Amino acid sequence: MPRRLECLPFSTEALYVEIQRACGASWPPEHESRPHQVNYLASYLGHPEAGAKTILVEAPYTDRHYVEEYGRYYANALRPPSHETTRLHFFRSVLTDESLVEALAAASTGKQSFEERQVALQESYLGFVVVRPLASVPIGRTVLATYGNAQASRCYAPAGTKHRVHLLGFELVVRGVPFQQQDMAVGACATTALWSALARVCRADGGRAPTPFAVTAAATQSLLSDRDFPASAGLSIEQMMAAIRALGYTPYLLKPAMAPEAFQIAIKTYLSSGIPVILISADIPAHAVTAVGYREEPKEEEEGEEVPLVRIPGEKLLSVPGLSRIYIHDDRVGPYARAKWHPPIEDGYAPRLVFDPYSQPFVAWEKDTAEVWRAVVPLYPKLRLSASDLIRTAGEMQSLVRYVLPSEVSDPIIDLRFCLGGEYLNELLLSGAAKDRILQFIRDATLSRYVGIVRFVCEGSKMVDFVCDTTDIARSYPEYSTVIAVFVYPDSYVEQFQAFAKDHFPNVLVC
Amino acid sequence: MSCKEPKAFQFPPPRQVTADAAKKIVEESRRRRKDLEELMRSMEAIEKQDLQVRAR
Repeated sequence: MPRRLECLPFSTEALYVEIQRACGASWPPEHESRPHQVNYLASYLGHPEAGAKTILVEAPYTDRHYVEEYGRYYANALRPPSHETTRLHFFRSVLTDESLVEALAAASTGKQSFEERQVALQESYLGFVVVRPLASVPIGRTVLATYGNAQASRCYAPAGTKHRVHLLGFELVVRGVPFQQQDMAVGACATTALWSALARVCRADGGRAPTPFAVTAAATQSLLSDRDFPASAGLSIEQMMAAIRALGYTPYLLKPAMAPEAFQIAIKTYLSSGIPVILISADIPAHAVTAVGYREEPKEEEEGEEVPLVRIPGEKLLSVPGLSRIYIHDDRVGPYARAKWHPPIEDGYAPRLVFDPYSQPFVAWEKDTAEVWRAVVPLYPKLRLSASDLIRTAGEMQSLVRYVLPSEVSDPIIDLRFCLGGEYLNELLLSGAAKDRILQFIRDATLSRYVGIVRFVCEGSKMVDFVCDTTDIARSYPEYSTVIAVFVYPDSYVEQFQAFAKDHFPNVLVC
Repeated sequence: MSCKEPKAFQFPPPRQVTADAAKKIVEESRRRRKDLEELMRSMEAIEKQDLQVRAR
């Protein structure tokens, strides 16, 4: 394939043409005839919140994930496809072939000029799509930036991983969670969901993301109930868990049946912590997607709606803002696909996800409902404290917090998450709380690598953080033993927490 | 870092945690822990047949 580097104005049609050219397809002109993933990408990138103006075509491109599939599967087919792919880059600014040549010429004149050009490209970079030479499943590894509307209370913590992109001598960065369309030859939807989730956690811990082939091989290493390759039989939950363990993580499995509220809080806790959650629906056949973000507040057009508060039955005081929308990587649709989270219709039923597209071409899908039947979370092995342990700790500490607060103050809201101990200290430094107490906390607190945070928030303001040790499970004796430190935000409340701690958790730092 | 930045709020003076109050707080928190433990167990209790469902 001759080397091609070309800038094109972004449009839905230009995107279709480039994907067709790269994968060798010839779709009829009707929108409905094109793969959903291609329509979705056009809609996602064309939306004003992404605002793509330019496509930069880079071909050929060698993609590690596709090359491994090629070598292990396609290479010995009678009619193998090419081993090369095409990478499409997207920019918010208008770039032309001429302006790119000028930028390169200017960049070659000195370090300062190079950095100016790199910053200019970086500011408008939206990410890339690798197009495989497979007409039936063209969308390969795709890393796109999330929508950046600061007004919307979206949380995309799992999409925080930096992906370095080398283009024309420049190094660009895109933050996101990798997505790709499933290729049944080497992986089912479950493989793709696992691949996205594991790419995030492995990279966040400083490791290398596994390829789809490696995920299927890990899943089928010792548990086999059908052919491993081609992988069209799909994966059982047992095999998904085996893959997570084989690739260095611990699978944590949850079900909503008796506790849908706690299930929702647990999913939100992991997403807030930057850990993707694999959701498995009860469709026939079952389907798996990766949750990578959420939104608490209703959409602008639903402003009259209240922020849903999730309360655990019997625990009227334990309230957590619920999920208004959840963003999922669904290999049948695309990356960051927006879905509405509906609580179960009655006891014993599962919560439901309804696809909520950004634009009209997906209207036909709006009625599609998926029951979220199980969730699997790939956890760092030493993160032994679970989201349910954090919920338990929140319930335990709620009695003290509610007592200390005067009755005229409404019940506090709870925010639960895991983070690195160092990140928590950094957040504390920037919190604006009393400096002497922050410094004392930083000097005296001994924290685990990851800590669990149970935060109580009153009227939108932080009240107290219970910092938990994550290297052990929650034990009922000694009482309150999960808590390793307490940070109280209002100065006037410190003394009350210290008074209680003196008799009930005397070895815990409270400041 | 939390996804949502809290706003400013003036906290009124706190209630004093007396010895009697502390006793009640501990009793209530034991009851809550017990209730929540049961609920959380139900969320984590996975049956063997669940694991064999295949996602395609």
